[in-house]
Amino acid sequence: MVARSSHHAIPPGTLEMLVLTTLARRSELHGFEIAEAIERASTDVLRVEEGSLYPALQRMLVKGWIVGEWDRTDQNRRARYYRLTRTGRREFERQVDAYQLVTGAIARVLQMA
Amino acid sequence: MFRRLWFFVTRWRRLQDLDEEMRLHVELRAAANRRDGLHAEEATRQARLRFGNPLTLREDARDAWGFAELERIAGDLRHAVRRVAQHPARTLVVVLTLALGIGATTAMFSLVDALLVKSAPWNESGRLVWIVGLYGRSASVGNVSYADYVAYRDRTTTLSGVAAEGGTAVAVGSRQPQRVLGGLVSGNYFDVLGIRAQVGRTFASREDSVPGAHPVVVLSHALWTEQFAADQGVVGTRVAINGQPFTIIGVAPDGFTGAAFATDPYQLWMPLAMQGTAMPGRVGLLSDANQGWLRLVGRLRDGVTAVEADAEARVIARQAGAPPANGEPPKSARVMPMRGGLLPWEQDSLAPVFGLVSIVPLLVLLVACANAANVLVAHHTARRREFAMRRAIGGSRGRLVRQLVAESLVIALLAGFAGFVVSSALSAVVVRFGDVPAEVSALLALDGRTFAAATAIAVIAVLLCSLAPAFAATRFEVLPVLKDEGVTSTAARGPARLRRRLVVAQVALSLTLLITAALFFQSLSRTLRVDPGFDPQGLAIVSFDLDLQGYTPERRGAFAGQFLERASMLPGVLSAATTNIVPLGGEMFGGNLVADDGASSRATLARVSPRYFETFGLSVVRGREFSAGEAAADAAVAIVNETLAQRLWPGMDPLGKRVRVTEPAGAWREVVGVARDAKYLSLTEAPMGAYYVPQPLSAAGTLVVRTAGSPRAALASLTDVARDLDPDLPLFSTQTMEERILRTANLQRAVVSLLGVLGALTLLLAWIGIYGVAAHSVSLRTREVGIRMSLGARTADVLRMVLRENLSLAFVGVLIGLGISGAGAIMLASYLFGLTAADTGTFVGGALVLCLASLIASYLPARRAARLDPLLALRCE
Repeated sequence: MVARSSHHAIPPGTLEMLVLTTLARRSELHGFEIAEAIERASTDVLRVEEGSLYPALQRMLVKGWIVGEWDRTDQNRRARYYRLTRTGRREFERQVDAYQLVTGAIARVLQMA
Repeated sequence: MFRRLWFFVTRWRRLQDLDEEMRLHVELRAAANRRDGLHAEEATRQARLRFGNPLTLREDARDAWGFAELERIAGDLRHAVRRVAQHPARTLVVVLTLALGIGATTAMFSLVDALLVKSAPWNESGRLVWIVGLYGRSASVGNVSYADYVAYRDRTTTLSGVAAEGGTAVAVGSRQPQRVLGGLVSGNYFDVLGIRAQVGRTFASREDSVPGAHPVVVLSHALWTEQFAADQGVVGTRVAINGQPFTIIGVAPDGFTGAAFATDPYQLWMPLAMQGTAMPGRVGLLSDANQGWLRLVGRLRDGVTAVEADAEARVIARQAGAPPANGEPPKSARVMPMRGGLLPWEQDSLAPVFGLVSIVPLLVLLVACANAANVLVAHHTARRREFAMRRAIGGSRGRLVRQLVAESLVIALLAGFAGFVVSSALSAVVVRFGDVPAEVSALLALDGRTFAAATAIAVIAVLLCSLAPAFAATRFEVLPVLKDEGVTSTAARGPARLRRRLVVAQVALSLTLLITAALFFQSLSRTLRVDPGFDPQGLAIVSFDLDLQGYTPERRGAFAGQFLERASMLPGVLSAATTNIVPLGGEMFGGNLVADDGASSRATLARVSPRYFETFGLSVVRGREFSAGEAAADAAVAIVNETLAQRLWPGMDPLGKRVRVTEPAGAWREVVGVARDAKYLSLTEAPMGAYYVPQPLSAAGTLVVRTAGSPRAALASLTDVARDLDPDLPLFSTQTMEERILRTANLQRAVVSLLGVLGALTLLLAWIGIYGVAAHSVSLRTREVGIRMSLGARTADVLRMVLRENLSLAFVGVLIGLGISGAGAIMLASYLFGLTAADTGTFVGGALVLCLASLIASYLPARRAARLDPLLALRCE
């Protein structure tokens, strides 16, 4: 449990957005790579609750934002690689816009206070 | 949605994928941990800790797919099937009850579908349209002339083709020719409709170019099978039509009988150019721009709507016609999408009738639903302890409701299937007793659409009748029900209230149906009791068409003279006459008459031989009948009926007055007799003027004899005589006058028999409903009755108590039912002949029948309650 104290858990609901962002930057990743990428990109501040990544990926598959294809890793292990669909990319842009709008507003409110 | 379904179908493989993926993740994390210096065991443990519980995650993923819902529904359905099978008696009652309602509704659906909705197989794209002419101030819909057809065909830009069809009776065959309905059609007819010949070919356009030049014929599949034994070799051979040789070039596919499949079927087709041969009595129709006799069918070009074609047709119609005379509106036209199997004008006029008639099966369905709901409520009420228990251990109300609805859906599928069976039985009954023409009964053939309709109706009906019971049964406080040992009347109040309302509704609806059926029945019997003005008993009628046989006028006269003479000498025949039209066949010739002093009036027109009035038993109240000499010379004399006399010469003596037909202008004739009023078009018509002129023998087409014996036997002798005179002459419309009159009431008879059967059904359903509620409430109150009786209540008191409760329900239902039927009778007044205030008897009678039925239905359980042994009753439960 040492790990928990030094990292911040992801705010609820943002996991999908983080996955979208990750996949938007790097074309094809499998689950473990996505988790690592999110952690690395946030310079280890944000830690993915690793298991919950998978239900999230399934939800996104159902919504058609991403597709998964089985392939081999460098160590020749079978892994499912995910990439964004066109719908997924649109959704990514939409979510980022909405997020920036909200955070911008919050930031302005905080400055005024 | 589809993706979700796809995920559901492939769910096992997906779960395996997910497991593999998560395993990989944990292994990779463990490997990373090892790289960070942890030893193997600890690395794996940390990796698992960080990952979380794979089982929960797996469930979360499945939720994401939406399987859980689907799997729960599948479970509900499995459970429902088991429950339904566990209670065969209840299932049977509900299914049968619903099947009656569904069957009635489905039978009606299939008829309406075939007549008004379903597209013909050759119109699956829905691109075919009718083009009809609009005439006169009222813009009434009618056929178009050949000249107008040519105008539409040549000028249209919105239609890829315009074809014409016109029907006429022709004689087919050289020995013993058969009279069939033939279609005169344009050369492009089969191409526009998209019909390919089954054998041989259809018309080429050059075969419709020169009048009389190409005697070719396409046979219908039915005629080919019946007359030519379905022999492929007939193509290329000749067949006599109206005595002229025609070459058979092809056979139409099975099922094609003309553009409108629900009307009189064509048995063969000839090019329009052969009109003169096909209709020897009306030569020259092709060049007469004033005769509308063709129905036009067009095919819309791609991308063109019917509205655009309609606008264009109006313009063409206005340009094509001669400029309108004296203030008449210009000729116009209308383009109507081809729907159902009816003719364009029938499409318009029949739709409201069907709408009205469709209400009845829906009423039956409602009553059946009420009954099924009733049974379900009773059944659910009995399961309240089970429900309460399930609620207590955490089941949600929604889940209970869902399970009950799942049970109902299983019942719905069963009921849908049973309803389909009932509907085919009902159709058979209607066809058998309603005297439905063969073409229409063929439409009643049940198909996939009907089955789908039956199932859809079943599902809707069952949801209707199961939702309310399901909610009622699950609306309760858990604790009291669990604590209470028995289900007392207080605990079951909610469902009981619902059941009582259902009974009220049932009584009201079945009373409405009964009264309506009775009103129609009385209307029918009143119709049939109407005095037609002549004596229909003992009259026998045969018709023949000498034109089609190629008779010259002299031979026509000779034949008719011999026929008439030999007919009058037949044993039992009292008198015989000829005419051009017999009343009460649904059609008469009409015309405008003008008197010498300027008065004018409309009247039906008939040409009659001497002794016509004597034969019909139609008394000539003033003056005399036509003499043989007047008939032979077509003398300028006429006989009018009392109504016409009154209209043209009110209060004067019509004898010796002069009168003539205008449009087409006729000669002035002197009135020599006044005949009694009769019924001409239908028995229910208002008094109508009638105008009779003498008929020379050469114009005779129908022979009527009055016999002292059986008119059926007379028909047989008449047929023999005709065959003896000319073996090749086909006789048609051979019937007795009484048969003819019955036939005019066919539609009414069909309606009455349908309403009667359905009315009886709903009465039975309502009776069962009342009985069920009464029996159930008595069984619930056994203990209460026991207490009352041990406190001194007598048998009669108990009886009265139970009866009062149930009869008051029936009374409320009867009152509502009376209201609905009153309103219904006002709406239906135009379809009911001779509806008067005296029909209140019908209302009272119907109400009494229902009260009596309710009394019996509630007396049986009441008696059982009253006979209870108080001791046993107290110990009950």
